[in-house]
Amino acid sequence: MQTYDAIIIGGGPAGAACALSLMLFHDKKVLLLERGDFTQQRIGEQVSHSIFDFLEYLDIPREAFGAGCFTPNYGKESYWGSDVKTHHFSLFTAQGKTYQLDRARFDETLLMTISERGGTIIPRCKQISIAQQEGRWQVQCVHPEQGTLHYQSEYLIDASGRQTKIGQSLGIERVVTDQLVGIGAFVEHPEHIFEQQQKIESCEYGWWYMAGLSKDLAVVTCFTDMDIMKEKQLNRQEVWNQCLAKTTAIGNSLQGCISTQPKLWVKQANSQYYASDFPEKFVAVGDAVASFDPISSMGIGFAMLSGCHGAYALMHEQKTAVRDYQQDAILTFDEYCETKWDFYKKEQRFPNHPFWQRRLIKPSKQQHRVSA
Amino acid sequence: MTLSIHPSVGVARLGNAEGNNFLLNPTKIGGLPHEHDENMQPTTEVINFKDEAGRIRRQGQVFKVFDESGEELTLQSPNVERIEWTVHLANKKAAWYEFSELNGNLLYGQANSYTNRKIQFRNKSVGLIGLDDYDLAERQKLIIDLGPRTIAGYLSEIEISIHNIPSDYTHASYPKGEMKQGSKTFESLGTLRTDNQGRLIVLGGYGFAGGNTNLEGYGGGDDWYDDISDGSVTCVVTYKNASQMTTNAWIVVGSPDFAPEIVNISTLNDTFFDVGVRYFNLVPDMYGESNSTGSGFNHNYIANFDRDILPIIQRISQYQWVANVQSMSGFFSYQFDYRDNSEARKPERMKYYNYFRQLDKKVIGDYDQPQQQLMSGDSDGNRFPMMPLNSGSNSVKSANAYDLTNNVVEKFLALDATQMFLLKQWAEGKFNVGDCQAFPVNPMDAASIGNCVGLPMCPGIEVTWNLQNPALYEDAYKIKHRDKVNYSQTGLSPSRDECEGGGCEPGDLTKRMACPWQADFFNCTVQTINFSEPKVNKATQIETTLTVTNHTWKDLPDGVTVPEDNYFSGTQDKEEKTPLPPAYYSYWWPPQSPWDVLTGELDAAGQLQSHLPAGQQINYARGINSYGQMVGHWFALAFIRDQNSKNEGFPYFTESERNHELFEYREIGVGQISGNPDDNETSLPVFFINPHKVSSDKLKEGLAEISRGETERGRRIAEYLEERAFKPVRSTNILHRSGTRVRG
Repeated sequence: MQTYDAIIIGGGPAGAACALSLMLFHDKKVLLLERGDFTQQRIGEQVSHSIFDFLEYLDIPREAFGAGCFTPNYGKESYWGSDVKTHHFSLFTAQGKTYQLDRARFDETLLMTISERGGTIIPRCKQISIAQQEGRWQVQCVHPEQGTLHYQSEYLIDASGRQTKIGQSLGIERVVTDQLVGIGAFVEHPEHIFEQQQKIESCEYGWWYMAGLSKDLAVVTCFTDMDIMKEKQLNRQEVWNQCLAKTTAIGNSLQGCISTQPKLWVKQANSQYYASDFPEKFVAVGDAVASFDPISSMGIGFAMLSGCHGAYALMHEQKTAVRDYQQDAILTFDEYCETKWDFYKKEQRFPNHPFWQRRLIKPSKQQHRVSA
Repeated sequence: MTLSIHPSVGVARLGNAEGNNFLLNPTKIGGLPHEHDENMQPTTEVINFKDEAGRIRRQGQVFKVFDESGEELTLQSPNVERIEWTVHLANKKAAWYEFSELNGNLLYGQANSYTNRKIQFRNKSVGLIGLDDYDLAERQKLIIDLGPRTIAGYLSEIEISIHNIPSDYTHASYPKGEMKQGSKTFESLGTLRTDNQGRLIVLGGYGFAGGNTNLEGYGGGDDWYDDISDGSVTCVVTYKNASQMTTNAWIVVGSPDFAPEIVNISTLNDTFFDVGVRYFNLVPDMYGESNSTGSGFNHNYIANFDRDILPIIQRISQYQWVANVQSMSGFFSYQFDYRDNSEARKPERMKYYNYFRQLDKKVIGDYDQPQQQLMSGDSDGNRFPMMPLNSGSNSVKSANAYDLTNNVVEKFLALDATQMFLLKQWAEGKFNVGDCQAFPVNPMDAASIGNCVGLPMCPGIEVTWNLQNPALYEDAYKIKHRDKVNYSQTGLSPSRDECEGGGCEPGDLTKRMACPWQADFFNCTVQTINFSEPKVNKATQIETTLTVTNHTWKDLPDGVTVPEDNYFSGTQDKEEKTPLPPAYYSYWWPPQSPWDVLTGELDAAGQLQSHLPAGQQINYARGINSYGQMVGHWFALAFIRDQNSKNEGFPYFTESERNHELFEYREIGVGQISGNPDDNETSLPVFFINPHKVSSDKLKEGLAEISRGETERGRRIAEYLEERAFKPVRSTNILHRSGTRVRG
């Protein structure tokens, strides 16, 4: 069985940032296991300028990501609370420049950096299961070509995202505050120029978001709650199309577009966090430790932040460091809930629809279940 | 008093390792190159031919200058003030004619000139201003000519680079901009250095080979360049009394010698010696205008077995390590005492000699010549493929190729005239053994060119048939430099044929070679040669598929018959130039371009990486499957090295330093082709390069071509990461591969 200092489960920005931190500042031999094969389209996200501070911290020059990985945003058109266009700035980065991120390019550069610096990355790892035996982590997974693989390590990092089952298998409690899902598609139009276009538009059952990814490619997503999606059958292409057509601004701007893939994708976008103590020599980072409504544009920034901080806490001599890190994450989550409430509250046109009713309740402070 | 430089023609070899990591030339025929110390003095024999990154180290050529008495002049010589060396390298390949085998070779007379044969230029559209009318100034720009460089003193160094072209050299030219294929940008033809005594060391190029078209033939392609070169070496010695003397030599930069200890049966030294003997009175006893037997070879000349015959026997015996020529075994089996010059042994010696093919006369239109003949006889029990069993200098194109009716065909190899003469003297018993007078050839002159191909020349590896022409020489072993010309004002000529006389310009010795050299290196190791039709090598094979359609009738009432109706239809599927059968499997220059070699990895890790046990005969170039791959990965090939070299007489040559990690391996069951699963019990080993798994640089290069959002990007990254992750896991592979039935 092969032994590593640390095994990281999940190859998104949080896992990658954590792996790079462990290698760069603690000289650890790392193994990163990733479920996917990198062929899925990843949705570009907004990031604030602080992303460059993290890259500097990880000693990766901005040029390594290639031209076009970070496209400056010039604000987005917002139809929120009324049909009238307003200029919308990102919720959590109210000031400063923001960038539209080419997620594929961004993730791939981080992973290539890990590989070039001597880290090991294995894509296509399914059925990942973990156990802690005699103070060491045992990790098993199934690879389509290599079969069942076993590894062990001193440290384990859960960077496996919103849908992680790692916490559950370790008995870590998780608090889920809503059921938000995104139903979306990539669309193209040979004559449109989508670049730098971003629109957000609220409606009765949730809100729509569209963002230009390149000259002729855009992503369109409908965000609603899981139960509403099921009831309205919003995950059916024809229903989704009808709903999109009824929107005021987004539907109009996408006339004549065709979908690049035959099926809509559905992704969880709910807010949640790990609420109880972590086992020894374990840390969760990114969406696994706390995940946020996409309207916040917090995902990538938090992934980088928690990846770096998580690695730091895990390596810290003080045993309480991980706990402090976890409490910080929950604190961030609390602040986020307040701001989110402020934002959703601005939409007062649909007081009777459950989607908005659920979001107009003032959030209570989250119960800290982490031992102090 | 005159000075001389040795070697008179030096041979450097290119390599892609970092510039300061190089070797020095071998000092004997079949010798290994040398490591060097910080004073640039040769130390031990080569330790590794490649650097840690698997790149081939350049091999430099040391030049020394001598006074008339044979005393070397160095900066330590009491009367010497300064030794200044000037080297002018060039590559004229892109400006010269298309390679068309023996066409253009003036040893066959003026009727065979490029003009009379209507051979076209490479890059024939460049500078074309009318029918067969060219603007030579435009053609000149196809030459890679960075002007001369001068070096003097102790441990100096100067690069022959595009960045330091002498300001007074007005006709410099080189390929500019980024190439679409192969190497990206051209920078340098090499490096000059001096050692701690002021001797010259010439280092050649770095393996640049780039172009803008797809390579399709062994001669290379239009709009392609490489950094092979040759040129003049001039030495000016300034004495303490301020007097000066000048002398010159030549340098040829070749591709790597992948089997340096294995020597061609006819080397370039044999060529120079043959020209020296027959045209420059080098050994008057052997060949003269008038001697005891008339003009030409002296049939009473006493050859020496150890000097003249043994090298031929030894070279024949070494071919087995790089080629399968089992029929050659009779020529080093000592079935009789080869050293015995008695009359009693003469029938055996004559039999040995008679198996060697006689030389063709160099004439146009005569096809009934000995080099068109494969077998010694055609009756049962008297059939033997004659010696040397090797391709001749045109086993490729037929007499009617290039719209001509009388191309020179030279299917099979014969030794050169002097080698053949000496062998005959031996056969007839006119030889002695043991110590004898050495020929008047400086050993350094023999050693450099003795490691190059002499025959066949189609075109060859380092240089080609123009060196068989005495017009290129000033004297035996001395290349005639073109004189009374100031290249800084005129530049080099793109079209002048040095075979017409007047001396050589830089670039003239290598301009006929394939461009890039990898094209020939990929394509020309073996050749199947028709041996039935003296005028025919390849012919166009037309593959036609005939379909028979039958119409018959059934379920008719008794007594009703309808005549059968059938017809043929033919579809022509493809036309391909292919050797006309019957043909014989022959080699080109296996010591330079090996083909059948033994694997050499002796430890488990090496064998797992190479996917082969040690001692298996296998195809040398396995895994390099296209011209483009040879251009990109020539340096991944193994060096064939004697693993028992300290015990003379017991050779054991195997591959070493092959870049196994570049190559993927699969065993393909025959059933995958036949469709019969039973056939899978026999499998074929297949080696190939996965272009996406080469390196992170390659990966990034590949990714740059894929637009964003495409799933292909992710697939390649995943593949790259897995390749890296699972390298150690591969050690679970099985070693046995008893199913392997096919070699190469």
